[in-house]
Amino acid sequence: MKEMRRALAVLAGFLLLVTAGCLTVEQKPAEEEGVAEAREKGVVYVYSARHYGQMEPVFEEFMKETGIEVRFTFGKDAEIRERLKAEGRFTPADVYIAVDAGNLWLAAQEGLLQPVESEVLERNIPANFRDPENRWFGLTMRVRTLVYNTERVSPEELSTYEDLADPRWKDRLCLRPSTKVYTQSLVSSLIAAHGEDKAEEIVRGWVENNPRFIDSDTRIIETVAAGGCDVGVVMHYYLARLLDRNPDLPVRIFWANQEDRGVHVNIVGAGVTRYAKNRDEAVKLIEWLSSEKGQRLFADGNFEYPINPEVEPHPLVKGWGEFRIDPINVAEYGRLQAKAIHLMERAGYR
Amino acid sequence: MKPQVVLSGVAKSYGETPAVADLSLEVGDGEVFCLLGPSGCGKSTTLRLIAGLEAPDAGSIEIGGTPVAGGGTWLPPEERKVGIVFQDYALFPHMRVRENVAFGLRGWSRRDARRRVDEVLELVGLYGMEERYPHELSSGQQQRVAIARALAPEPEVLLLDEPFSNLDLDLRRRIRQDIRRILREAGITAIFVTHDQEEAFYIADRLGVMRRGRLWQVGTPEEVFHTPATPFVARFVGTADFLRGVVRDGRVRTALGEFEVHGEFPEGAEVEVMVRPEYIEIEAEGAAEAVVVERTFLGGHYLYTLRLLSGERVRCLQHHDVTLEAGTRVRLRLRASHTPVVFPRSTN
Amino acid sequence: MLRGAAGILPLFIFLLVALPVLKVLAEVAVPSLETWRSLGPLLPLMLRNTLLLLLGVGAGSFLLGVSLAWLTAAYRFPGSRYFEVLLILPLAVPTYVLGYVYMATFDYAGPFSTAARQLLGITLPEIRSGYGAVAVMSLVLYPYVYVMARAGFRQLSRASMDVCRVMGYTGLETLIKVALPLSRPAVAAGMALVMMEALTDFATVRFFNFPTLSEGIIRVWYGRMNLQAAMELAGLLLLFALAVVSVEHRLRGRAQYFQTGGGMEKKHLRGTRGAAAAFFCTSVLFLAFLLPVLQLTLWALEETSAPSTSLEMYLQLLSRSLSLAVAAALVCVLLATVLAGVLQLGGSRIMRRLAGLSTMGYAVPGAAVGVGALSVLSSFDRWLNSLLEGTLGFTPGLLATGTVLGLIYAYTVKFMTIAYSAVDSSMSRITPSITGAARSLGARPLEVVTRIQAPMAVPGIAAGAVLVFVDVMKELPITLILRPFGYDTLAVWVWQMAAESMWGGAALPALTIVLAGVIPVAYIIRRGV
Ligand SMILES: Nc1ncnc2c1ncn2[C@@H]1O[C@H](COP(=O)(O)OP(=O)(O)OP(=O)(O)O)[C@@H](O)[C@H]1O
Ligand SMILES: [Fe+2]
Ligand SMILES: [Mg+2]
Repeated sequence: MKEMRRALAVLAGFLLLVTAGCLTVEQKPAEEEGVAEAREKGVVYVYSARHYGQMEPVFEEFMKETGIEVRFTFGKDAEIRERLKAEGRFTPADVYIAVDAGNLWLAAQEGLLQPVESEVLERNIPANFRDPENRWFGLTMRVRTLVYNTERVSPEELSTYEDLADPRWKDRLCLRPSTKVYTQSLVSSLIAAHGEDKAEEIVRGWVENNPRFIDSDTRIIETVAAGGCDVGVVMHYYLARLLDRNPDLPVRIFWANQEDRGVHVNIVGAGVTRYAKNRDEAVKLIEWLSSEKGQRLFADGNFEYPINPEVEPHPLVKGWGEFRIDPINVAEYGRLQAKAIHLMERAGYR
Repeated sequence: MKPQVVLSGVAKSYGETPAVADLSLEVGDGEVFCLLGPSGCGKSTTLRLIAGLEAPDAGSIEIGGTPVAGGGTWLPPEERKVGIVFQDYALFPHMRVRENVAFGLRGWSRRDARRRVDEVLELVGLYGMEERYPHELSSGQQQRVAIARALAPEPEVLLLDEPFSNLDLDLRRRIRQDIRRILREAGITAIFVTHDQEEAFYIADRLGVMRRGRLWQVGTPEEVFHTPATPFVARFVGTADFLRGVVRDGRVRTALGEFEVHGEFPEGAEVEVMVRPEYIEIEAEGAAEAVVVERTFLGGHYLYTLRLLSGERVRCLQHHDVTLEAGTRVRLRLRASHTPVVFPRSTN
Repeated sequence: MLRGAAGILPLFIFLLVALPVLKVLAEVAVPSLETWRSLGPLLPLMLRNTLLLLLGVGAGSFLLGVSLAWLTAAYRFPGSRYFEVLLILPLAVPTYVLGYVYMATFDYAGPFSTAARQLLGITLPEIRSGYGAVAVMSLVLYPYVYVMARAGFRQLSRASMDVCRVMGYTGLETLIKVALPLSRPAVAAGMALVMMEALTDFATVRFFNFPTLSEGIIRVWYGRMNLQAAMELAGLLLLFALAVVSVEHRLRGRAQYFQTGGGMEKKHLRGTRGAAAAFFCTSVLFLAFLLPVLQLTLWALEETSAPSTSLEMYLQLLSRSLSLAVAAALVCVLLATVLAGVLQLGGSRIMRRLAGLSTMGYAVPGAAVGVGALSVLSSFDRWLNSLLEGTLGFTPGLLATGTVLGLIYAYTVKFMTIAYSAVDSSMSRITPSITGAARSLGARPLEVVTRIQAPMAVPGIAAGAVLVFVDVMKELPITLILRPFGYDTLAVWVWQMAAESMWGGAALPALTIVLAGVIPVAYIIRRGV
């Protein structure tokens, strides 16, 4: 008992020290310090929902070229928006980087972003990948399309998202659950293309094919590779990552809907926050990210497609060839998100 | 009487401590036998050996002529046809009286079991209480449920481990009457354990006195009381005082007088003579002189402690109408009907 | 003069701790049909799944816990002495950690299913299902039943067991007819703990596509930031928890069976029966503890070559988790000591009642505590800001919801119980007669405190602190709902990494959590299983 007591005392003492250290140091960057210093020249503060492919090197390069320091905090999109709302005009954030256009649309809708007039951005970014009112801008493209097991499916059998509702795909599909915004945007694109009733019919068709629901694109691809299903719907960069590590993986990409509207594309994008204190630096950062140099670093780190048509994609994904893109403005995904969620619930899509 | 339970040379130790050592015993069919002894002497262990709850280290046990343990045989408890009643009754608190009593009636048809439960409850006088839970019964009633439960499967031998020790004195007296009746009516062989000699005398046909895992004497209550085999038995069963004596010419001389000796003692042997308070009379003609030291009131009787001329003390039981004050000089003698028991003088 | 302040303290602590729960309860009392409708067909699905999960995990933990407890209590077989103790170890593995490991190893693409397909030609059942969730949770939660059932079996009197032997009952019959009914209160308490944990978990059911109410709360809050709907769901969740508590109360029953104990005489299982028993124990231990620990270690080692979680990141997560856990432990223990101390001085019946209520947080599932606290705290933030703005012309920002303060508050609501019962049990031994004896033997008042009261109270306080510490280390739903923006902890990191199929990145943080979980298990073992 005695030794136990002593051990506990030592443990408690140690932990006490650690806490005192951490709790005091920890809070500062996000709070006062950030606010105070971000106001000085040469600093821009970013809330980012994207944390793939090491964001640090990108920001370091930006600082090297412009002398502007980038500070950042990662969070989930919904969290960031909630945060921006709660902080109001006291927010330290100047830039919000989001994954999925739906999130950007929501942020704009909630008045969290401000319009930016920039010729550079208008030149570098195609119109369907930015907000019609210039509150946010796409930076990279991510393609949500079909992947298939090369030993079980030949590409001729594949055609469209809609076709996956055909009974011949029964027990052969791997899909991502409805909780993921990727899925919500894909269904939004169906609503935009076909109207709600037809879209629901298609989603019902998917559900009736008894798909495996796996909440990870990587795992979907691995399951397709293992033969757990024949076809999956994923973001292209997950396949690129896996093929980069193991080129022998028996899974290949298929560009959906090439005969009609084109494949479903989503974006990583950014906007300047409504109460940005370093507005100029914020705009400079977004412009730089859309430039040749920025695009390289930002997109290639995660095998995403550059938004700037002038910039070549990473060789690995470039090798997958050209494809037709659904020309819809990605803002629609945000507008239709709530409808898509309810549609999936009605259709029994998990 | 043909023997129903036979133990020969049975021994059992827990680790280093021998709980039962070289114990041999025969209990006759229909007999009520009592194991008497101080706490920790191995009484419970003996019962558990008979029940098959423990296996003997040595020796053998037979029940109803069938070897059940020792010599390579082993019959598990459930095949020995023994019932057992524990000191704390071990009733199952989550079962009603009926379920408790029927607990051992496995393989009986529903009707037979019901009849048997009614029968034994009738026997123990608890008819009509079968739907109660144990905590809704008095402790005397619980005790009888425990007996009914043990009797229900019609065992050939009933073992009772200090069945009365949880009851207050008055209840004890009443219950043991009941138990005696129940055991006799059931005609069952019963072995029960107690450390209360009054209880043993009351119920037992024969009893055995145990100490340190051994059986020191077996006999009827009268035999054990009047002719104890050792000073320990004498002291444990009833009250006893010991007087120094010397053997001369086949007689023993003590401070209380001279008596005949039974048994082989060489001339001049130093001995101890057991006297019980019941044996001593106060009489003007008595052979020995004594002084009253103390008087203890026992209700119907007085117990006097007296100092003899030799300085030895003896106790003497007198009717309540004989009142003597401390310091009174009296004369004593041994009742004529009693030949005192003589032991060799112990070294300590 | 102390009386006045002392009298208010329990009331104050009660309000502090009860407010979030009351707020959630109010949500049930005034349900908003509008919100329910907005949840659509999800709501009946969640209700159904929550019920199924409770029943399934209840049954699974009952079967595992009781059978293992009986096996180790009533029999001796190869290794049984070690199994007795080791079988508690799975308690150290949080449900979501085992869920993540199983998702990675037993789903279709996982190594076990792949091996089974290729070597044996069989397809393992789908792990991403209600069955998978039930299996995983039963495997790590059964120790609650195991420990309690063993405590119950230890109370059985030797005579009760002997009666069964003389009457020829087999081991299994004795268990069913006598041992289990007599241990009912203990087993029921264990089952209640299991069900509470099952209600609290949201990550495992999310991994396995089996949305329950807890999962729903996280879904609508974390995904849609819809606090209103989250509160409604929390209210329903609370009803489930109350149902569990009241059923447990029922099962405990009127009759408190008092047995003297010392009963079990262990029977030797030899040959194949002994081997089968040892095999069964080994399998459970392997599936619930060794497998996850080995797999996590393996992943952690693989990670060293190409880390997806950098060492700095890990250290930051670790220091955050540690500091939160220590801070929460200190706050809980402080409040518990104050509460217990004031009541020692003699409190009224009402005060005692309030103290009892202050510690009800543990029966409220984490997600419900989380949204309840969030709702209370954001009201507080708004009130404080408008107050200060109006009076001083200055706003402090989100003091409660934007910083770790809110998080520590919510932890306190949830884990005060543990601290209080530990502190109270040791403080209640310091009776007036003990201090009186010390005084009469010449100790001055200060000496009484330093030499008698403090040494007697410290073990309980330390135990309370350690238990809270460990619970906070592994806590997930509250942390997720209330953590300051960007403030990832070990548990949050494990969840996020696992959800992204970054098994390696989650491994070291998960191992750390399991390691912390071993501390209270060791404590239980020391006190005797
Ligand atoms: N299970 C056991 N393990 C170890 N020693 C035991 C065990 N049971 C009994 N003993 C020891 O064996 C001796 C005899 O015990 P037993 O219970 O037979 O005594 P008893 O005569 O019934 O005593 P009491 O009148 O107190 O019930 C004692 O010394 C006791 O400590
Ligand atoms: Fe992604
Ligand atoms: Mg005994």
